[in-house]
Amino acid sequence: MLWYQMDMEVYKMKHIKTINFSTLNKDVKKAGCGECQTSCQSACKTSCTVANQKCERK
Amino acid sequence: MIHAYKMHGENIVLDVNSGAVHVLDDTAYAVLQCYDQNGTLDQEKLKRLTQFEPSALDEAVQEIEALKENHLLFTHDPYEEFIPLWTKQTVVKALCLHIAHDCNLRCSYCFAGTGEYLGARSLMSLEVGKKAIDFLIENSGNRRNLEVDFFGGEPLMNFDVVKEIVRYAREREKEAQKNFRFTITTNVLLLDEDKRNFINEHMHNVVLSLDGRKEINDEVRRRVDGSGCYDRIVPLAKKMVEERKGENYYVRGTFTRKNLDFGADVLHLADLGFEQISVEPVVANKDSGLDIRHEDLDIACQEYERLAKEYVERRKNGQWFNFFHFMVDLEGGPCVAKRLRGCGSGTEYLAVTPEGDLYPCHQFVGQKEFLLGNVFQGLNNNPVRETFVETNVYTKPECNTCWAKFYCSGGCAANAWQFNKDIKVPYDIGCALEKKRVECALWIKSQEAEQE
Ligand code: SF4
Ligand code: SF4
Repeated sequence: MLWYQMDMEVYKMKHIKTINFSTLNKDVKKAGCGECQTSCQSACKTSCTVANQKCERK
Repeated sequence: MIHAYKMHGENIVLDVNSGAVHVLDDTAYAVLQCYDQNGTLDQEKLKRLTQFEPSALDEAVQEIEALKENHLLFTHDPYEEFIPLWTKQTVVKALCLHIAHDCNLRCSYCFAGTGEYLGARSLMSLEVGKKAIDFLIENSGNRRNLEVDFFGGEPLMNFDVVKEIVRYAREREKEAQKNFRFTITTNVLLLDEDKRNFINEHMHNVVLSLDGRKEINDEVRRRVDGSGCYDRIVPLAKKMVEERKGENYYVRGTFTRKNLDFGADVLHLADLGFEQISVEPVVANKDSGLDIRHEDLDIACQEYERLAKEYVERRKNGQWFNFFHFMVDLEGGPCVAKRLRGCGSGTEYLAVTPEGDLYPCHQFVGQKEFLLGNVFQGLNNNPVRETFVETNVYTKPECNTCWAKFYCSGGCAANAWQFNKDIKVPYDIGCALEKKRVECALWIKSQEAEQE
């Protein structure tokens, strides 16, 4: 169960369950170091899905 | 921008720009449909939701507003101003070496024309291989991690050269302050003990080609005499995986419009004991009879959903395996810069032919208008490279407005070229399948989150 603060009140979510918080926009300024693996090299060789790739910084 | 959808009775919403994912009950899902893409609530639409309790509707509105306030829904795009920064560098960090333009199989869907691409059958010489390593080191700027994939045709047909190239790269990596990672993509037929040992010692990843069920595999993956290869490949591939201790490999298959029930092939590979599986739609032209067509999409998408369900079941019940296209790392994963640019073909990733010619990637090899130079003289100034540098999800109209852009990263340029003669116009069938896979991946996360 998730709790949010809104208008100075703590509010309990009944209808919505968050399974992932915002992650894309953290460290925007540090993004793009380029040390990570090239996508098509990993497994597919005919398409690319990058969301499953690892970041070399972590 | 948001993307809301239903799958297997679950209501899911992805907030595109933040990457937040939420599961909604039916009330909240109905309320969410009353919002436009900017996050503005249409009160008139809301009033028409008479099937729900007014108090529940109020709660749902309040919860959606809370998510908005916490930057977890209807968030704006904070990235656009950074794009020039992320797209300026054009160092090369990965090469696909076409070790052999020859193959000991005659697969009917091969985009390489059974190994020879658009040229003649040929093998890469050690001289070209060494030059390719030099070229990569010289063109990689400050990048430390460099990748080399041994590809073909069938690279095991020229394995002595593979060994020597690896040796040479290892020799050079220290003084050049680089770290090479080698991978190899093979059809397994020639994978004897000696080669397995070498690969296990030196290669970061190995991709083993196998399509799934015997009858499916052998229908397309045939030897020169027309016989199938399943019976030879399966035991060898198993051995290889065992010797690698089950790590850093992929069993990689292809499905065509002849096996739109490809989920059965994925599960077959899992039944064989493989845990790292990738099975992908074929890249074939319209007259092959194998390409996926618009009329096949519904069936293929349903198949992905069915597979997703079975996937969750099996992973829960001790039959764990990974399906490459259902893997999505929601918490970590690559940075946004990477998500905008995708595969890097033509920029950070290039393919090298046996003769040393450079192309944007393995799928462009032999198409002369894409020739980018060669390993002896370096890059030529083919203006087409600029097009690759400029291309990202923001410069492609279809991708810019697509909810899946940060997961797909803009699709395959080679497909776009093949079907639309424009690397900036994605291949719509590929898009439909990719979006379905991302939907499945998020649904799987929602199910696995529930189990935790
Ligand atoms: S699914 Fe298609 S439109 Fe969407 S980001 Fe990928 S290539 Fe672009
Ligand atoms: S253009 Fe397509 S085939 Fe080539 S590297 Fe990119 S995703 Fe892979």
